[in-house]
Amino acid sequence: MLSSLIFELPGDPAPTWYSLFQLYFVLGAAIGSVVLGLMFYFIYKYRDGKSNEPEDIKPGRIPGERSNVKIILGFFSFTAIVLFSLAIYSIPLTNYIEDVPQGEDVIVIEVIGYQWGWRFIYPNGTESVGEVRVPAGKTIVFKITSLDVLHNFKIKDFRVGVDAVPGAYTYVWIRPHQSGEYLIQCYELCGVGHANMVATLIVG
Amino acid sequence: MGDHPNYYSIKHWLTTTNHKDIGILYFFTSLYFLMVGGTLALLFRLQLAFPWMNILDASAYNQAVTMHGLIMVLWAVSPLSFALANYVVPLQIGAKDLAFPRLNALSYWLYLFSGLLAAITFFIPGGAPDVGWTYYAPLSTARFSPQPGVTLAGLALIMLIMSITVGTINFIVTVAIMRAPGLGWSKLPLFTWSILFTVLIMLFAFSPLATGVLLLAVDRVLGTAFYTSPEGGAFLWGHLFWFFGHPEVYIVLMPALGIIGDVIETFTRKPLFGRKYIIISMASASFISFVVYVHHMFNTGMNPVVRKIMSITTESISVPFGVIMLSFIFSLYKARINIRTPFLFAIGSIFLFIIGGITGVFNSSIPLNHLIRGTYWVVAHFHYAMVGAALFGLLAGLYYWYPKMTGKMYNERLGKLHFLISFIGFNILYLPMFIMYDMPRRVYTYSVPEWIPLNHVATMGGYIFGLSFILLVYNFYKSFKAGPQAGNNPWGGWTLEWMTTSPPPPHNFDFEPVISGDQVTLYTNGGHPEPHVEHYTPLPMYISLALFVTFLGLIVSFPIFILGVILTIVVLGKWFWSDVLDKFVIPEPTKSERWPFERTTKVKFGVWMLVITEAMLFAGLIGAYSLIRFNMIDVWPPGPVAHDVRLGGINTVILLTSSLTAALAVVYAKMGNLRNVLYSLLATLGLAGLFMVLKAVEWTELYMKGFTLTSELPASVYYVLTGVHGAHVIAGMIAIVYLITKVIKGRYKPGVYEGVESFGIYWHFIDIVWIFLFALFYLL
Repeated sequence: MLSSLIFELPGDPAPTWYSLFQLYFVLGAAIGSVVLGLMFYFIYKYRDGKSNEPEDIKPGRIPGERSNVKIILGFFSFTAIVLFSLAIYSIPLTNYIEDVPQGEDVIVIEVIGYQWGWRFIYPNGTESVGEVRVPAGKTIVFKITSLDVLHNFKIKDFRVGVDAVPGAYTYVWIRPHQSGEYLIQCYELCGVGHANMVATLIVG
Repeated sequence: MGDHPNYYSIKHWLTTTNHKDIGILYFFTSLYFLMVGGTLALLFRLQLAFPWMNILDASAYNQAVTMHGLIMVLWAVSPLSFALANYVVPLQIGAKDLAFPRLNALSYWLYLFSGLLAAITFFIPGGAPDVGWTYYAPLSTARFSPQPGVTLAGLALIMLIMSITVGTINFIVTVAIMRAPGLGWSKLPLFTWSILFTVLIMLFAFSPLATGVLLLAVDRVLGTAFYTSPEGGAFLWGHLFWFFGHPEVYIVLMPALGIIGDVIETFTRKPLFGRKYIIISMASASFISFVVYVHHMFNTGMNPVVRKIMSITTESISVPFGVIMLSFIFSLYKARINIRTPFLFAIGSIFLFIIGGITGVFNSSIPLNHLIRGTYWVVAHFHYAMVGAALFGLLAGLYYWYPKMTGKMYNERLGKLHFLISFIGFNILYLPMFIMYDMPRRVYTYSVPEWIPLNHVATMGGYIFGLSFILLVYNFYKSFKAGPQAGNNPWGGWTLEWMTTSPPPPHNFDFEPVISGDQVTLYTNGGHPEPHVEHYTPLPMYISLALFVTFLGLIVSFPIFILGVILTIVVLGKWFWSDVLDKFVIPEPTKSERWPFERTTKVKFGVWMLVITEAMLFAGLIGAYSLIRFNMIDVWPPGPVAHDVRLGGINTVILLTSSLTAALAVVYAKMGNLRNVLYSLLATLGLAGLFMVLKAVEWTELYMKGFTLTSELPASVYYVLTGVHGAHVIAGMIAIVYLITKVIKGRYKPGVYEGVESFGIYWHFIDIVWIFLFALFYLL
């Protein structure tokens, strides 16, 4: 759709992420506009001088109830149905993005975040700091941890990210199909060097 | 007593306990902190205007964002709602004051001094905390952030939690049992309801935070390893912090919703649509707010099933808010809308809340959350909710009640102009941030060129928004000096605050409002209103100052710390003595509407609330124990091996016996047998003392064996939990000494047993906590 025209999608799971984001965005924008539109219409229509409605609020008198159970139930079910259908719809997409691919052809690269940089350990044991090279067309799993404080490992162009937690492993996977250089950055405040805690993902 | 300082004298403002004065003090103080937090924001917005800006370096930038978050959330926006709550809630329920006016003053002064303690960190070596307002461990531990400012701001937070705890209990008791005769729950204005929900959330949310900060302070000051070890670490902080952190959003928001409700009713001349359901929705949102917090930890690699459940609970919290918002909007249908400044701000608040709410739903989706976590999307989202919705709602309230508070009308044209400029500025500031949904927050510079124009626009919006507040200050100042008289009820509102003069007299009403059916009747008592004594006392201010000195000394210099401790003891002693002599007694309201709490006095009610919040404190501690023990299941020494079960058992029996003697004291007090009350209390005191002595023996023995506070994590957990419990026992012992003194001084008449009974509730609670601790440490 629109987003794939505007943005370059360098590989999976970015398209899945976009389709989900688009769904939320379109639905959110539509509902928001209708609701706010209704609000402005009411304000315009019933503004003072135009409205002949009687005044029901009087000093010294507790106002009665003005409600209609059916309408309230409508509000309730509308919100609930929209939200739960979204939740249910997202489950397979969530599983697709969350489940770490396994198998012979998956390349697992260990990532160690530290104050302030990223170290990568390839399956053959070689290490590199500040950049990681991966082939196009293969599934890459990043197995992420931290040496010191919380970091957040994010490759924004692939729409993936996860916290780097000391003493624990977290995972993200990508399947790049477009060679190029992509920014890896820390997205969790981790001290003075946070803003410069970057690395490069080189696909090719 | 008796001598009333002049209203405009400094002495009046330092010693007042009147809720309206306290409200005004809250207003000016929160405005001050709003300015501090706002100035910090304008500084770092300027830094971000271009990537090559050089106004703040990385460290200064981190300090600015951290303090901006802390100050705005804890010391500016939420207290601003309590400025209005203090002023308006007692008026709306037809009460003369809050249930405990002196404790209300204590809340205020603790709040002020805790804020100053936090702000002072800018001026101590190492500077202000720079770890983010979320204080994520392990970054916030001494190993990674050794500067004393991090500890000091933590201590300031503990002091603020004291203020909040006292304030919450006060408001709950007030709304529950001080309502005007006939003012049943269903007739309460929405603002009062919203404050009730706010303080209920606070009651449950803040003590686990106290646990979290306490453990952090122990780590930093005494060298334990709760947050540096992987067994506790980031997860322990995450759970304790976000259990508080997410409900905090609703704490900030709820009062604004209440104001919007009242404002809409007044300016549409129609009852709120679905008022009952709005209140039910508020209640369910308050409850759900405690079971969604894990969405803040979606990215930490925790159990996927838990994550999915939490994703659904997070989405479900939007349902009650959906109902509230749609009901507000439907209230405009077939109304007669008077578009004035408060109404505009209320509508602005709804507008911004809907944007903030819809964008919040994105966060509940796990895959979307993976990307937008830690980005400007999140910044935009929560500013729409917490600044947009909450602050605009509070501004609606300020304009709405300004004529009531001052007796003068503000300038309508300037008010509308303020709305227009601030609303436009706000959107220019935060809308671009949604587009920057992949830019990391909390960075002092950035390298991606697409982000430059958006940041630039946002910065301009920030200045427009910030500077628009000059209009508010000018308008309020000018109108206070020379505005037209507003009269009692300029808006034609129905709630009780509009039925008294503007500003109201110290005792709020010259008559007694009585409600029967939907009619409010004013009884003038033949021109002689019930006597109301104004109380003045400097003790709340002194005690807060003494704590301020103590905490500052703990970080800055030892002699100052000792001075602070001495000051605290002296002031507490004075307070204690003035209570023994009954210098500050406010009679129990006799005619008030208090269903279903007819049989509960306000002190007893307050103690029950205290027990709830203390239970949450221990729940936090026991939660920390469980998490750590679960993570070191193989190496944690079993209870009977590490601890002397026999000694612990003897101590348990001793403490349980003291519960029995405490219960006896209540029985004798009810019978009016003061001599036996005295003996029972003395026995309780003796048993409690014995418990503490045995505890000390046990601690010493364990220390000798090398089982010290910092030797291993199980030891740290043991000492902190039993230590906090021991501190509660000592507090209980002080309460017994107070009761004994009162009995000896002949201050208790037969038939008056409220004090002894309230103490009994607290004491049984302490004993129950010990049974848990005994089982957890000695038996398991």
